[in-house]
Amino acid sequence: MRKFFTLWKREVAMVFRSPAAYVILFFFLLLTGFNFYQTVNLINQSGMPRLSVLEVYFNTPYFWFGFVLPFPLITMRLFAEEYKLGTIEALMTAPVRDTQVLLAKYLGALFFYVVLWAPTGLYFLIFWWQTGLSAGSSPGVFIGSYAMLLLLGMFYLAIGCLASALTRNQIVAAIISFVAISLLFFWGLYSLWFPNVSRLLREFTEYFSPIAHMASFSQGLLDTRPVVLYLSLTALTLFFTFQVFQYRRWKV
Amino acid sequence: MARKSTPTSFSRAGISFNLLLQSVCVVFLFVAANYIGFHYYKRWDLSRSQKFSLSEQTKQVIREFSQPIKIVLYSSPTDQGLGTMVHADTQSLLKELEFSGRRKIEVETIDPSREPGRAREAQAEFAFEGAESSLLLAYGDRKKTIPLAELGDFDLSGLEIGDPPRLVAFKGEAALTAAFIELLDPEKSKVYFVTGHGEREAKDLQLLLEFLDRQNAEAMGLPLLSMLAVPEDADAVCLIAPRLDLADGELEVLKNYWDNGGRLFILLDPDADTPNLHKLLAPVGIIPRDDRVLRIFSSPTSPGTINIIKVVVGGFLPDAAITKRLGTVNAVLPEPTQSLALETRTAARQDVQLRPLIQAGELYWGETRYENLEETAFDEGVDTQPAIVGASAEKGGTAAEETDVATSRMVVVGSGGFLDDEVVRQAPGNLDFAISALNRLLDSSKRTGVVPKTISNFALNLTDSQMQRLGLYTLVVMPGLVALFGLVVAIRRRA
Repeated sequence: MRKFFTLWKREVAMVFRSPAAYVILFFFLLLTGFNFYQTVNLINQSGMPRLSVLEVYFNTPYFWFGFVLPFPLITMRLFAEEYKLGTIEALMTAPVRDTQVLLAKYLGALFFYVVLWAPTGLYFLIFWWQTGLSAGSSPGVFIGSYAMLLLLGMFYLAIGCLASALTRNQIVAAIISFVAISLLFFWGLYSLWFPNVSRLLREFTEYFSPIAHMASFSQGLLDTRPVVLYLSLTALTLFFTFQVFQYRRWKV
Repeated sequence: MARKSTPTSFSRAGISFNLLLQSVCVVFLFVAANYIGFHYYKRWDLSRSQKFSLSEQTKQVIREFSQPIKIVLYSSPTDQGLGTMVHADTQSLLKELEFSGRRKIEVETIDPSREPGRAREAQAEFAFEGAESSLLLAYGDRKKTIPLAELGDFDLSGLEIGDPPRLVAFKGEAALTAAFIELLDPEKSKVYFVTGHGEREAKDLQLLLEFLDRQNAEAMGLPLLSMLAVPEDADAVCLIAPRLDLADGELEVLKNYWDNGGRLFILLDPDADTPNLHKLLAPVGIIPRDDRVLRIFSSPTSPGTINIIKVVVGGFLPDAAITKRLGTVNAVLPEPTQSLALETRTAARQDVQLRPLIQAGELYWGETRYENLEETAFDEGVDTQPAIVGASAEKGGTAAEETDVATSRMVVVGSGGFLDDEVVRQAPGNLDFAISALNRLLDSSKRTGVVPKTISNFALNLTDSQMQRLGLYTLVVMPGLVALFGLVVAIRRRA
């Protein structure tokens, strides 16, 4: 466990010593801040909407744009950079297990993802401070929104990890993960675009639809199915990342 | 060389096989976890008003289905009308019903504007002719239609000052549960039409009768003269413009029916002399006036010529449950129409709540000297303006219609041809009114015990300075702090 924490600390330190992390964080906060401001502005102008600030905030196109974009940026360097710089060999010959390396890198990325989203909680505090109103209709909507954010993030980061393990080129890794995440994201919209689909296909697309999941969780409707889905998808993707990582190790 | 390569190839093949096996096992585990997770799941409704939670009553009714029930949400989100306001709530409700009654409830959404072909098929399948957004239900060969606008309680008080209608409560679950109960119960509701007094014949009321058929209600004739009481299975009794008066015995029968929770739908023929029928209405507080509702019209093309318009065009008043969803639709009463006086004191003594439902347009009045219309004009204190031409009475109810229990209910309109097919084709609002009135009379949603869900709105009224401060903190201060921190890290690294 100590070896794992050492590796994890190394990953986290690498992220936060790099100016790129702050550039990502800066632009991410600009985007999410803009989304928050627009959300409040929209509700303020539209009289008496049915949804609270939080429910609108987590379901706007700005939110989804800001949500999908960071994953390739966070994960593209995880393995690709090590392959390119040759530091992976040092890691492979070190007395650590491959699973420890993989999990340290993955959880390091997840830590940065959490740090990325944590300040957005301040938006709702600022809103409460300025208006005296709660941005969500119940504590459940806060729990649901951030729980779904974490679940989606876990899976998409795993995809990024896999993409990064596949290549030594960070740009290629970023493109692979971006395309994969986008395809999965748009798959959930299939039944919206083509309403005449069969019930089975509709249920299937809805089962994988992050938009439907976020819409439901952000309204306080928690469901075990997306939890099982994203945890199992994360585990599956990390398993394949592990296999790819081992394959490259044998090649080395 | 060949000897040396053999174990290596064997070893690689073993590793590959091992890898493949592991992958197959992991994929199998993934599929199994999701299959189980999909079929055995748990949901928690943490929303403030528990708006997604189904009542035990609804779950119990769903369990009673022995075959799948099909529900079609026939609605376009871009439609104008009150139904649009409950579209999203209805979708959420249907999703919850689907989750709760897996394999027993099939939901389909049809957007008529995007899928005209499927919309026509559904119209044929459900014998549904209306253009109004509705829920179409089919359970075996039993069918039922529920207009979406009936799933909400709306506050229309702001309409006069240009404010849009506001959804106050969503009662979709109560309405659907009531519909489920009706569909499960093979016994149709029975609506009796009194005969023997020159009432409108069935051939004149085909559109109304078709509606009743779709509502799983059976229309039957009621020769009241030969009866000592209204049949016990009567869910409502209609008296459609009798030209002859009720006999004393018939009056007693109807009075007893009313006193014992009866539901009456009455269209009056103002030209008929029906004092006994008026005696049925008088204790309730509804007095048909001896007048005719009309207005005068001076033609701009022939000055000095005054035309008397006897076709009454009126509006449905939004303060009653029956008419609140009808919005700005007009009521057209082409035959002689008499106004109704609503005597609230008399009604109060009888524990009756009176509500005006249809009011003639502002230029109309109830003319008392209608037999000589040569020099007709509105006489203050003698004639009536505004003229109420439709009203409802509920005995045992409360001022708030949604909180009542089983009550005697009556709807009266002061004109006979109001629901004739040819009139309804020209003025579909008349049929909408009748549908709404009969739904109210036949209503069983109150008996389900499912409480309508109050709609919470998120009203914000932030000042410019508050918005500016929010913008400052979220768009400048927070990203700025991160940029500053990043700069410090970069400088320290260089140092």
